[in-house]
Amino acid sequence: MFLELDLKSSIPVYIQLRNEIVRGIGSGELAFGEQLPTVRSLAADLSVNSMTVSKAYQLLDSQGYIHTDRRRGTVVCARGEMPDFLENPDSKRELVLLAREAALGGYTREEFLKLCSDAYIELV
Amino acid sequence: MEILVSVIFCLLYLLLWGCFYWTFIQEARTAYGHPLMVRLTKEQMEDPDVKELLELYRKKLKRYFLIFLLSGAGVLIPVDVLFPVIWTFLMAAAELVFPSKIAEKTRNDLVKLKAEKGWKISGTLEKRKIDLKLDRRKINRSMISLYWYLIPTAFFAGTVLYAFQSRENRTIFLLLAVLGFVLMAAGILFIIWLPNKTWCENTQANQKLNGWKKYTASLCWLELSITDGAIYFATALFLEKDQLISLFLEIFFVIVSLLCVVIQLKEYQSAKDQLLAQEKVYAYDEDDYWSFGIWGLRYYNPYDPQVLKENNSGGLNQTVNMAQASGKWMAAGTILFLAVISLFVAWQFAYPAWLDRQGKLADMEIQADTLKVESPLYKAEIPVEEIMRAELSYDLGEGSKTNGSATGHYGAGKFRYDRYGDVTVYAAWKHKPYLILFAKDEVYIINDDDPEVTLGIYEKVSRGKEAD
Repeated sequence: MFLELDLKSSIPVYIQLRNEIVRGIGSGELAFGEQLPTVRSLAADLSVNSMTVSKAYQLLDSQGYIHTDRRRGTVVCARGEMPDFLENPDSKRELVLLAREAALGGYTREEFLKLCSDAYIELV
Repeated sequence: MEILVSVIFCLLYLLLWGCFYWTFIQEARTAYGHPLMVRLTKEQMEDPDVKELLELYRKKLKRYFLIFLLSGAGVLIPVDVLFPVIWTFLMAAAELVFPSKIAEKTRNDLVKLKAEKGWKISGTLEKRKIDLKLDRRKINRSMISLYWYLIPTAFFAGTVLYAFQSRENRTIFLLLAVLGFVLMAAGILFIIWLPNKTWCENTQANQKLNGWKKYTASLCWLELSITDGAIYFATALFLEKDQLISLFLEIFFVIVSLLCVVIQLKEYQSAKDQLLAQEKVYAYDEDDYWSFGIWGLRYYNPYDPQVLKENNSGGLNQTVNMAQASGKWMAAGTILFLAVISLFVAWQFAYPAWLDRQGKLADMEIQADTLKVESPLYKAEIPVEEIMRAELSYDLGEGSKTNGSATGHYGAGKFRYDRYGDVTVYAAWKHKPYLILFAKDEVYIINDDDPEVTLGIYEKVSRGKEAD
């Protein structure tokens, strides 16, 4: 699993980190139950403050994508423990925004649905 | 003494010359894909125009450095001890400024050539790839076992034991051993905390490379730590018995250790190159953030959170990211450290030379039955009644310092002479004669920087003893 961070972006690094990890889980690059690097190790590799990584992990934990225990460290949650997509009010809003942008950009419903279909990966 | 000083200055000059030459010549290396910190692909580096530019840079550099090498003869001009110091400083500045200008021009030409030919490198540093499967704890298992570090620890402990039972040099050996141990521990922690690097898009290759990096770093650090400890221990054992053996062992340990380190690094480099040759390596275009100023290579990238940045040495050398606040502090600290070292050297060598020229290096006088030896560098009082006998000497014979300080101009502290045994010295070497005072428990070698005063004191003391 390779994270791609844009250090020039106006999006904070911890949000980018959160998004990249969710993308990794969603694409299957990060397996369910897989251990993530420690906060300090990842912070050193990214050359960022430990607080930045810690914040991203806390956000992922609060959203139910990962959990931390003393014995195993930080791990990706099991398939059945993943949060409900529509439980997050932001998810629907972002999807609606994307659909509106696609329509404004000249995309037809079919074209937009095709894009969504291509982006969606069936997970086991 | 004069020949020895000249030899030391020559070696110092050659060392500086070698460091600057190596630093600048390596900037044109193509092995790491960024000669003069301009990112180029393998194919682009084979372009005749690029080759010609780099060859021209090397030629110019060699010509300049040949002139610098010949200018080194200036340190041999027998004017004053201050002259070689100033000359070395001036030449060091010249060896930094002039080659930097050549590097700057060649780099600009290379960047221009890259733009003209339309060579673009797709990846930019702002979009960095990080392999999430690299965990420091797992990678650290590739390091050599920490038990190996018990070998240098044993040497440091041996030096501490020697310091406790030694009469001379106790503090200096104790400090050296403790400092050596602390340095070794700091190095181990640094290697443990060394971040992982994502070289290519193959996780297994990244894990292997980071493991090799930690293994090589820990092994090299062990070799250097053993050398450090062994040198202190050998010096402690042989310094007083046979200085030649001590010197031989020190040189031997340094050469063996450096050879081992170079072999390890070469092995790592070749294994890394071999592995990466089959992988798709991430290349970042960072040309805009590198430059050559009058003080050499500079890296300024506000989007890169790294403070230390690898330059064109394959990881052996690092440059500070001046866009980061901690980078600026680090640079300021380095300059401050160099300034303190320079001031210390000036205080140790130039200040006594200046005092000597002013006639203020050593003064003696007898005041109320006390012989006072005074200088801005030392102060001593010897009760005249304790002096049993006085001698005048123009040649002290063979001897060496065991504790204290000494330069070509003065000596103060404990010395050991074949003729007099253990003595306490407060002397201005360039102003013979010396007064040898045999007191109840101690022998003193003292003088004034005015020979007439030394003779006068000798007569006074001798007359007083005869009258007794």
